[in-house]
Amino acid sequence: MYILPFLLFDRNKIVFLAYNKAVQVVNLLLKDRSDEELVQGALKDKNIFAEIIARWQDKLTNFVRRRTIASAEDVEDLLQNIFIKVYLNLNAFDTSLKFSSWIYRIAYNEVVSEYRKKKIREHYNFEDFELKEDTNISDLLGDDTNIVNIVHNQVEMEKIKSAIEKLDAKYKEVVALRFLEEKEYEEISDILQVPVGTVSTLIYRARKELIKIYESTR
Amino acid sequence: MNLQDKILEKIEKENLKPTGAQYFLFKKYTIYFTLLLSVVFSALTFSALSFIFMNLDWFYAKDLEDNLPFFVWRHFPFFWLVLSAIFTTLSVYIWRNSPRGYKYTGRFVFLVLGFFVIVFGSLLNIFRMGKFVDSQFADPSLRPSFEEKMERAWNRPDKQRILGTVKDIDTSKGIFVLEDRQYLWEIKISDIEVGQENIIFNNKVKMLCRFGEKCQLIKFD
Repeated sequence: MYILPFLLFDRNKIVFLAYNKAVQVVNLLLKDRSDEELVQGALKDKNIFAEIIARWQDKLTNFVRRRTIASAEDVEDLLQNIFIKVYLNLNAFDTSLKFSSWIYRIAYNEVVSEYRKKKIREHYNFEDFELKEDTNISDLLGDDTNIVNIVHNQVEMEKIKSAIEKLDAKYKEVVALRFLEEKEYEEISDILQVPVGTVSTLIYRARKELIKIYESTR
Repeated sequence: MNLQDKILEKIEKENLKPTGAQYFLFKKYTIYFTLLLSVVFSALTFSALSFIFMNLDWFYAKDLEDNLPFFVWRHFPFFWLVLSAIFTTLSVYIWRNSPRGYKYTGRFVFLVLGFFVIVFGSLLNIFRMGKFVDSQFADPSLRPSFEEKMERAWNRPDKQRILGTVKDIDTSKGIFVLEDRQYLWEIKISDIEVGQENIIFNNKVKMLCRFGEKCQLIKFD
Protein backbone atom coordinates (compact mmCIF):
# COMPACT_ATOMS: atom_id res chain seq x y z
CA MET A 1 0.00 0.00 0.00
CA TYR A 2 2.75 2.47 0.95
CA ILE A 3 5.13 1.44 -1.72
CA LEU A 4 2.85 2.44 -4.57
CA PRO A 5 3.06 6.30 -4.20
CA PHE A 6 6.83 6.02 -4.05
CA LEU A 7 6.82 3.96 -7.15
CA LEU A 8 4.60 6.53 -8.87
CA PHE A 9 6.80 9.38 -7.68
CA ASP A 10 9.85 7.61 -8.91
CA ARG A 11 8.26 6.81 -12.18
CA ASN A 12 7.22 10.48 -12.68
CA LYS A 13 10.67 11.57 -11.73
CA ILE A 14 12.15 9.15 -14.21
CA VAL A 15 9.71 10.33 -16.88
CA PHE A 16 10.48 13.96 -16.05
CA LEU A 17 14.23 13.40 -16.18
CA ALA A 18 13.95 11.40 -19.38
CA TYR A 19 11.84 14.18 -20.93
CA ASN A 20 14.39 16.83 -19.95
CA LYS A 21 17.21 14.72 -21.32
CA ALA A 22 15.30 14.17 -24.53
CA VAL A 23 14.67 17.92 -24.88
CA GLN A 24 18.37 18.58 -24.33
CA VAL A 25 19.32 15.97 -26.93
CA VAL A 26 16.76 17.36 -29.39
CA ASN A 27 18.07 20.89 -28.78
CA LEU A 28 21.62 19.72 -29.29
CA LEU A 29 20.61 17.94 -32.48
CA LEU A 30 18.75 21.04 -33.69
CA LYS A 31 21.72 23.27 -32.96
CA ASP A 32 23.75 21.30 -35.48
CA ARG A 33 21.07 21.63 -38.14
CA SER A 34 21.33 24.19 -40.90
CA ASP A 35 18.65 26.88 -41.24
CA GLU A 36 17.37 25.19 -44.37
CA GLU A 37 16.92 21.90 -42.49
CA LEU A 38 15.17 23.72 -39.67
CA VAL A 39 12.72 25.23 -42.17
CA GLN A 40 11.87 21.73 -43.40
CA GLY A 41 11.48 20.57 -39.81
CA ALA A 42 9.36 23.58 -38.78
CA LEU A 43 6.92 22.79 -41.57
CA LYS A 44 6.15 19.52 -39.83
CA ASP A 45 6.59 20.53 -36.21
CA LYS A 46 6.05 24.07 -35.02
CA ASN A 47 8.25 23.49 -31.98
CA ILE A 48 11.27 23.32 -34.26
CA PHE A 49 10.38 26.86 -35.29
CA ALA A 50 11.41 27.86 -31.75
CA GLU A 51 15.01 27.06 -32.72
CA ILE A 52 14.75 29.41 -35.71
CA ILE A 53 13.49 32.14 -33.37
CA ALA A 54 16.28 31.48 -30.89
CA ARG A 55 18.87 31.63 -33.65
CA TRP A 56 17.67 34.87 -35.24
CA GLN A 57 16.11 36.81 -32.38
CA ASP A 58 19.22 38.78 -31.38
CA LYS A 59 20.32 39.53 -34.93
CA LEU A 60 16.87 40.74 -35.94
CA THR A 61 16.48 42.75 -32.73
CA ASN A 62 19.71 44.58 -33.59
CA PHE A 63 18.54 44.97 -37.17
CA VAL A 64 15.29 46.61 -36.05
CA ARG A 65 16.92 48.74 -33.33
CA ARG A 66 19.45 50.13 -35.79
CA ARG A 67 16.66 51.42 -38.00
CA THR A 68 14.27 53.04 -35.64
CA ILE A 69 13.69 54.88 -32.42
CA ALA A 70 11.03 52.69 -30.85
CA SER A 71 10.23 51.49 -27.39
CA ALA A 72 11.26 47.97 -26.33
CA GLU A 73 7.61 46.96 -26.52
CA ASP A 74 7.23 48.24 -30.08
CA VAL A 75 10.41 46.44 -31.12
CA GLU A 76 9.12 43.23 -29.56
CA ASP A 77 5.77 43.59 -31.32
CA LEU A 78 7.56 44.15 -34.58
CA LEU A 79 9.76 41.11 -34.02
CA GLN A 80 6.71 39.04 -33.22
CA ASN A 81 5.11 40.15 -36.51
CA ILE A 82 8.33 39.35 -38.38
CA PHE A 83 8.57 35.83 -36.95
CA ILE A 84 4.87 35.14 -37.53
CA LYS A 85 5.33 36.24 -41.15
CA VAL A 86 8.38 33.98 -41.42
CA TYR A 87 6.33 31.09 -40.05
CA LEU A 88 3.39 31.67 -42.39
CA ASN A 89 5.71 31.95 -45.39
CA LEU A 90 7.99 29.00 -44.63
CA ASN A 91 6.86 27.31 -47.85
CA ALA A 92 7.88 30.38 -49.85
CA PHE A 93 11.51 30.02 -48.82
CA ASP A 94 13.56 29.76 -51.98
CA THR A 95 16.40 27.33 -51.33
CA SER A 96 18.53 29.03 -53.97
CA LEU A 97 18.70 32.01 -51.61
CA LYS A 98 20.55 32.15 -48.32
CA PHE A 99 18.16 31.77 -45.38
CA SER A 100 19.67 34.86 -43.79
CA SER A 101 18.89 36.94 -46.91
CA TRP A 102 15.32 35.66 -46.89
CA ILE A 103 14.66 36.35 -43.21
CA TYR A 104 16.31 39.79 -43.42
CA ARG A 105 14.18 40.59 -46.45
CA ILE A 106 11.03 39.81 -44.48
CA ALA A 107 12.33 41.90 -41.58
CA TYR A 108 13.26 44.78 -43.90
CA ASN A 109 9.83 44.74 -45.60
CA GLU A 110 8.10 44.66 -42.24
CA VAL A 111 10.16 47.59 -40.93
CA VAL A 112 9.43 49.61 -44.09
CA SER A 113 5.75 48.73 -43.80
CA GLU A 114 5.75 49.99 -40.20
CA TYR A 115 7.41 53.23 -41.33
CA ARG A 116 4.64 53.67 -43.85
CA LYS A 117 1.97 53.03 -41.27
CA LYS A 118 3.85 55.59 -39.14
CA LYS A 119 3.87 53.13 -36.28
CA ILE A 120 7.61 53.56 -35.84
CA ARG A 121 9.97 56.39 -36.76
CA GLU A 122 12.72 55.89 -39.30
CA HIS A 123 16.08 56.59 -37.72
CA TYR A 124 19.35 54.89 -38.51
CA ASN A 125 21.46 54.27 -35.47
CA PHE A 126 25.16 53.70 -36.04
CA GLU A 127 26.14 53.72 -32.36
CA ASP A 128 27.53 50.19 -32.41
CA PHE A 129 29.38 50.76 -35.64
CA GLU A 130 33.09 50.05 -35.47
CA LEU A 131 35.80 49.79 -38.04
CA LYS A 132 38.07 46.80 -37.80
CA GLU A 133 41.39 46.44 -39.52
CA ASP A 134 40.52 42.96 -40.75
CA THR A 135 37.27 44.02 -42.42
CA ASN A 136 37.17 45.37 -45.91
CA ILE A 137 36.92 48.98 -44.85
CA SER A 138 38.42 50.26 -48.04
CA ASP A 139 34.87 49.61 -49.27
CA LEU A 140 33.74 52.39 -47.00
CA LEU A 141 36.60 54.85 -46.95
CA GLY A 142 38.59 54.07 -50.04
CA ASP A 143 42.22 53.01 -50.28
CA ASP A 144 43.63 56.53 -49.97
CA THR A 145 42.45 57.12 -46.40
CA ASN A 146 44.83 56.31 -43.59
CA ILE A 147 42.68 53.57 -42.15
CA VAL A 148 45.04 52.41 -39.40
CA ASN A 149 45.06 55.90 -37.90
CA ILE A 150 41.29 56.12 -37.95
CA VAL A 151 40.73 52.68 -36.43
CA HIS A 152 42.95 53.49 -33.48
CA ASN A 153 41.76 57.03 -33.02
CA GLN A 154 38.51 57.41 -31.08
CA VAL A 155 37.99 61.03 -32.16
CA GLU A 156 38.32 60.13 -35.82
CA MET A 157 35.95 57.20 -35.33
CA GLU A 158 33.34 59.54 -33.87
CA LYS A 159 33.77 61.78 -36.90
CA ILE A 160 33.19 58.81 -39.19
CA LYS A 161 30.04 57.88 -37.28
CA SER A 162 28.72 61.40 -37.45
CA ALA A 163 29.52 61.51 -41.18
CA ILE A 164 27.52 58.28 -41.67
CA GLU A 165 24.61 59.81 -39.74
CA LYS A 166 24.65 62.71 -42.20
CA LEU A 167 24.51 60.47 -45.25
CA ASP A 168 21.53 60.66 -47.55
CA ALA A 169 18.74 58.25 -46.46
CA LYS A 170 19.03 56.20 -49.68
CA TYR A 171 22.67 55.37 -48.82
CA LYS A 172 22.14 54.64 -45.14
CA GLU A 173 20.35 51.33 -45.74
CA VAL A 174 23.12 49.82 -47.88
CA VAL A 175 25.80 51.20 -45.54
CA ALA A 176 23.95 49.70 -42.57
CA LEU A 177 23.59 46.32 -44.24
CA ARG A 178 27.19 46.29 -45.45
CA PHE A 179 28.98 47.58 -42.37
CA LEU A 180 26.63 46.85 -39.47
CA GLU A 181 25.08 43.57 -40.55
CA GLU A 182 28.26 42.71 -42.51
CA LYS A 183 26.37 41.42 -45.54
CA GLU A 184 27.87 40.60 -48.92
CA TYR A 185 26.72 42.56 -51.99
CA GLU A 186 24.76 39.54 -53.25
CA GLU A 187 22.91 39.27 -49.95
CA ILE A 188 22.15 43.00 -49.86
CA SER A 189 20.76 42.62 -53.37
CA ASP A 190 18.47 39.81 -52.16
CA ILE A 191 17.36 41.73 -49.07
CA LEU A 192 16.60 45.03 -50.78
CA GLN A 193 15.50 43.30 -53.99
CA VAL A 194 17.65 45.44 -56.24
CA PRO A 195 20.32 44.34 -58.76
CA VAL A 196 23.85 43.72 -57.42
CA GLY A 197 25.08 46.50 -59.71
CA THR A 198 22.76 48.95 -57.99
CA VAL A 199 24.13 47.88 -54.59
CA SER A 200 27.71 48.52 -55.80
CA THR A 201 26.71 51.90 -57.22
CA LEU A 202 24.96 52.90 -53.99
CA ILE A 203 27.95 51.87 -51.89
CA TYR A 204 30.33 53.67 -54.25
CA ARG A 205 28.26 56.87 -54.09
CA ALA A 206 27.80 56.54 -50.32
CA ARG A 207 31.58 56.25 -49.97
CA LYS A 208 32.14 59.37 -52.08
CA GLU A 209 29.62 61.34 -50.07
CA LEU A 210 30.99 59.97 -46.81
CA ILE A 211 34.57 60.96 -47.65
CA LYS A 212 33.33 64.41 -48.65
CA ILE A 213 31.50 64.89 -45.33
CA TYR A 214 34.38 63.38 -43.35
CA GLU A 215 37.02 65.54 -45.06
CA SER A 216 34.95 68.66 -44.43
CA THR A 217 34.98 67.98 -40.67
CA ARG A 218 38.78 67.62 -40.44
CA MET B 1 7.35 35.03 -20.96
CA ASN B 2 10.07 35.33 -23.56
CA LEU B 3 9.53 36.18 -27.23
CA GLN B 4 9.96 32.57 -28.32
CA ASP B 5 7.14 31.38 -26.05
CA LYS B 6 4.91 34.32 -26.99
CA ILE B 7 5.24 33.53 -30.68
CA LEU B 8 4.64 29.81 -30.20
CA GLU B 9 1.62 30.59 -28.02
CA LYS B 10 0.21 32.91 -30.66
CA ILE B 11 0.71 30.24 -33.31
CA GLU B 12 -1.03 27.73 -31.07
CA LYS B 13 -3.84 30.04 -29.98
CA GLU B 14 -4.69 31.35 -33.44
CA ASN B 15 -4.08 27.96 -34.99
CA LEU B 16 -1.68 29.48 -37.51
CA LYS B 17 -0.24 27.22 -40.16
CA PRO B 18 2.34 27.86 -42.87
CA THR B 19 0.65 28.76 -46.15
CA GLY B 20 0.63 25.74 -48.46
CA ALA B 21 3.44 25.25 -50.95
CA GLN B 22 0.83 24.94 -53.72
CA TYR B 23 -0.25 28.52 -53.11
CA PHE B 24 3.26 29.85 -53.68
CA LEU B 25 3.77 27.59 -56.68
CA PHE B 26 0.48 28.76 -58.16
CA LYS B 27 1.43 32.39 -57.53
CA LYS B 28 4.84 31.89 -59.12
CA TYR B 29 3.54 30.16 -62.22
CA THR B 30 0.68 32.66 -62.58
CA ILE B 31 3.31 35.41 -62.75
CA TYR B 32 5.33 33.50 -65.36
CA PHE B 33 2.20 32.71 -67.37
CA THR B 34 1.09 36.36 -67.30
CA LEU B 35 4.58 37.35 -68.42
CA LEU B 36 4.42 34.90 -71.31
CA LEU B 37 0.97 36.14 -72.29
CA SER B 38 2.06 39.74 -72.16
CA VAL B 39 5.14 39.03 -74.31
CA VAL B 40 3.01 37.15 -76.87
CA PHE B 41 0.55 40.08 -77.03
CA SER B 42 3.45 42.44 -77.38
CA ALA B 43 4.89 40.40 -80.27
CA LEU B 44 1.47 40.17 -81.96
CA THR B 45 0.94 43.91 -81.78
CA PHE B 46 4.47 44.42 -83.06
CA SER B 47 3.76 42.08 -85.98
CA ALA B 48 0.75 44.26 -86.92
CA LEU B 49 2.92 47.35 -86.56
CA SER B 50 5.66 45.97 -88.79
CA PHE B 51 3.12 44.68 -91.33
CA ILE B 52 1.66 48.15 -91.76
CA PHE B 53 5.02 49.90 -91.62
CA MET B 54 6.47 47.71 -94.34
CA ASN B 55 3.42 47.91 -96.56
CA LEU B 56 2.81 51.62 -96.29
CA ASP B 57 3.14 53.35 -99.65
CA TRP B 58 6.10 55.44 -98.54
CA PHE B 59 7.08 55.95 -102.18
CA TYR B 60 3.70 57.52 -102.97
CA ALA B 61 3.42 59.47 -99.71
CA LYS B 62 3.32 62.83 -101.47
CA ASP B 63 0.69 61.57 -103.91
CA LEU B 64 -1.58 60.19 -101.23
CA GLU B 65 -1.25 63.16 -98.87
CA ASP B 66 0.15 66.63 -99.34
CA ASN B 67 3.41 66.01 -97.53
CA LEU B 68 5.33 63.33 -95.67
CA PRO B 69 4.59 64.47 -92.07
CA PHE B 70 0.88 64.56 -92.88
CA PHE B 71 1.14 61.13 -94.50
CA VAL B 72 2.82 59.78 -91.36
CA TRP B 73 0.20 61.41 -89.15
CA ARG B 74 -2.64 59.93 -91.21
CA HIS B 75 -1.27 56.47 -91.94
CA PHE B 76 1.41 55.48 -89.44
CA PRO B 77 0.14 52.66 -87.17
CA PHE B 78 0.26 54.65 -83.92
CA PHE B 79 -2.46 52.43 -82.50
CA TRP B 80 -0.26 49.33 -82.76
CA LEU B 81 2.82 51.26 -81.67
CA VAL B 82 1.10 52.38 -78.45
CA LEU B 83 -0.34 48.90 -77.80
CA SER B 84 3.06 47.30 -78.41
CA ALA B 85 4.71 49.80 -76.05
CA ILE B 86 2.06 49.16 -73.38
CA PHE B 87 2.45 45.37 -73.56
CA THR B 88 6.26 45.57 -73.58
CA THR B 89 6.21 47.88 -70.55
CA LEU B 90 3.78 45.52 -68.83
CA SER B 91 6.12 42.59 -69.60
CA VAL B 92 9.06 44.50 -68.12
CA TYR B 93 6.99 45.27 -65.01
CA ILE B 94 5.93 41.62 -64.59
CA TRP B 95 9.50 40.36 -65.12
CA ARG B 96 10.87 42.83 -62.57
CA ASN B 97 8.21 41.66 -60.09
CA SER B 98 8.75 37.96 -60.70
CA PRO B 99 10.55 35.97 -57.96
CA ARG B 100 14.11 36.66 -59.20
CA GLY B 101 13.28 39.62 -61.42
CA TYR B 102 14.96 42.15 -59.15
CA LYS B 103 18.34 40.69 -60.13
CA TYR B 104 18.22 42.59 -63.43
CA THR B 105 18.03 46.30 -64.07
CA GLY B 106 14.95 47.72 -65.75
CA ARG B 107 17.08 48.82 -68.71
CA PHE B 108 18.49 45.32 -69.22
CA VAL B 109 15.04 43.70 -69.02
CA PHE B 110 13.65 46.29 -71.42
CA LEU B 111 16.43 45.66 -73.94
CA VAL B 112 16.10 41.85 -73.74
CA LEU B 113 12.31 41.91 -74.03
CA GLY B 114 12.39 44.60 -76.71
CA PHE B 115 14.81 42.52 -78.78
CA PHE B 116 12.71 39.38 -78.28
CA VAL B 117 9.47 41.18 -79.21
CA ILE B 118 11.04 42.60 -82.39
CA VAL B 119 12.42 39.20 -83.48
CA PHE B 120 9.31 37.22 -82.52
CA GLY B 121 6.96 39.89 -83.95
CA SER B 122 8.88 39.98 -87.25
CA LEU B 123 8.76 36.19 -87.47
CA LEU B 124 5.01 36.26 -86.89
CA ASN B 125 4.71 38.85 -89.63
CA ILE B 126 6.47 36.53 -92.07
CA PHE B 127 3.62 34.10 -91.47
CA ARG B 128 1.12 36.90 -92.23
CA MET B 129 0.10 37.18 -88.60
CA GLY B 130 0.43 40.97 -88.68
CA LYS B 131 -2.22 41.28 -91.38
CA PHE B 132 -4.48 38.86 -89.52
CA VAL B 133 -4.15 40.76 -86.23
CA ASP B 134 -4.77 44.11 -87.92
CA SER B 135 -7.89 42.90 -89.71
CA GLN B 136 -9.24 41.04 -86.66
CA PHE B 137 -9.11 44.08 -84.44
CA ALA B 138 -10.49 46.50 -87.02
CA ASP B 139 -13.77 48.31 -86.91
CA PRO B 140 -14.88 50.15 -90.08
CA SER B 141 -16.12 53.22 -88.21
CA LEU B 142 -13.66 53.41 -85.30
CA ARG B 143 -10.42 52.02 -86.66
CA PRO B 144 -10.51 50.65 -90.20
CA SER B 145 -8.01 47.95 -91.06
CA PHE B 146 -4.86 48.93 -92.94
CA GLU B 147 -6.21 47.35 -96.10
CA GLU B 148 -9.47 49.32 -95.89
CA LYS B 149 -7.56 52.49 -95.16
CA MET B 150 -5.30 52.01 -98.16
CA GLU B 151 -8.27 51.19 -100.37
CA ARG B 152 -9.93 54.42 -99.30
CA ALA B 153 -6.74 56.37 -99.93
CA TRP B 154 -6.28 54.91 -103.40
CA ASN B 155 -9.87 54.94 -104.52
CA ARG B 156 -9.89 58.62 -105.46
CA PRO B 157 -10.50 59.08 -109.21
CA ASP B 158 -10.86 62.82 -108.52
CA LYS B 159 -7.19 62.81 -107.57
CA GLN B 160 -6.11 60.65 -110.50
CA ARG B 161 -5.83 57.42 -108.57
CA ILE B 162 -8.01 54.38 -108.76
CA LEU B 163 -8.10 50.97 -107.20
CA GLY B 164 -9.69 48.01 -108.89
CA THR B 165 -9.36 44.58 -110.41
CA VAL B 166 -7.91 43.77 -113.82
CA LYS B 167 -10.74 42.40 -115.91
CA ASP B 168 -9.14 42.20 -119.31
CA ILE B 169 -5.79 42.79 -120.93
CA ASP B 170 -5.89 43.49 -124.63
CA THR B 171 -2.58 44.57 -126.12
CA SER B 172 -4.31 46.38 -128.99
CA LYS B 173 -6.83 48.26 -126.83
CA GLY B 174 -5.53 48.45 -123.33
CA ILE B 175 -6.18 47.25 -119.81
CA PHE B 176 -9.66 47.17 -118.38
CA VAL B 177 -9.83 47.84 -114.71
CA LEU B 178 -13.07 47.35 -112.81
CA GLU B 179 -13.19 49.86 -110.02
CA ASP B 180 -14.79 48.90 -106.71
CA ARG B 181 -17.77 51.12 -107.46
CA GLN B 182 -18.35 49.00 -110.59
CA TYR B 183 -17.01 51.59 -113.05
CA LEU B 184 -14.98 49.98 -115.80
CA TRP B 185 -11.92 51.95 -116.73
CA GLU B 186 -10.13 51.43 -119.99
CA ILE B 187 -6.54 52.52 -120.00
CA LYS B 188 -4.43 52.56 -123.15
CA ILE B 189 -1.31 50.43 -122.99
CA SER B 190 0.71 53.35 -124.30
CA ASP B 191 -0.41 55.47 -121.30
CA ILE B 192 0.69 52.94 -118.74
CA GLU B 193 3.96 52.29 -117.11
CA VAL B 194 4.19 48.96 -115.34
CA GLY B 195 7.04 48.33 -112.98
CA GLN B 196 8.79 45.03 -112.41
CA GLU B 197 5.55 43.37 -111.31
CA ASN B 198 3.81 40.83 -113.47
CA ILE B 199 0.18 41.92 -113.64
CA ILE B 200 -2.31 39.35 -114.82
CA PHE B 201 -6.08 38.91 -115.06
CA ASN B 202 -7.97 39.32 -111.76
CA ASN B 203 -5.06 40.99 -110.02
CA LYS B 204 -6.01 43.80 -107.68
CA VAL B 205 -4.17 46.91 -108.84
CA LYS B 206 -3.81 50.55 -107.93
CA MET B 207 -3.21 53.18 -110.57
CA LEU B 208 -1.71 56.60 -110.16
CA CYS B 209 -1.61 59.23 -112.87
CA ARG B 210 0.72 62.16 -112.34
CA PHE B 211 0.40 65.24 -114.54
CA GLY B 212 2.62 64.97 -117.61
CA GLU B 213 3.70 61.42 -116.82
CA LYS B 214 2.51 57.99 -117.78
CA CYS B 215 0.07 56.35 -115.35
CA GLN B 216 1.66 53.87 -112.99
CA LEU B 217 0.04 50.54 -112.50
CA ILE B 218 1.00 48.91 -109.21
CA LYS B 219 -0.04 45.56 -107.88
CA PHE B 220 -2.14 45.90 -104.70
CA ASP B 221 -0.87 43.21 -102.39
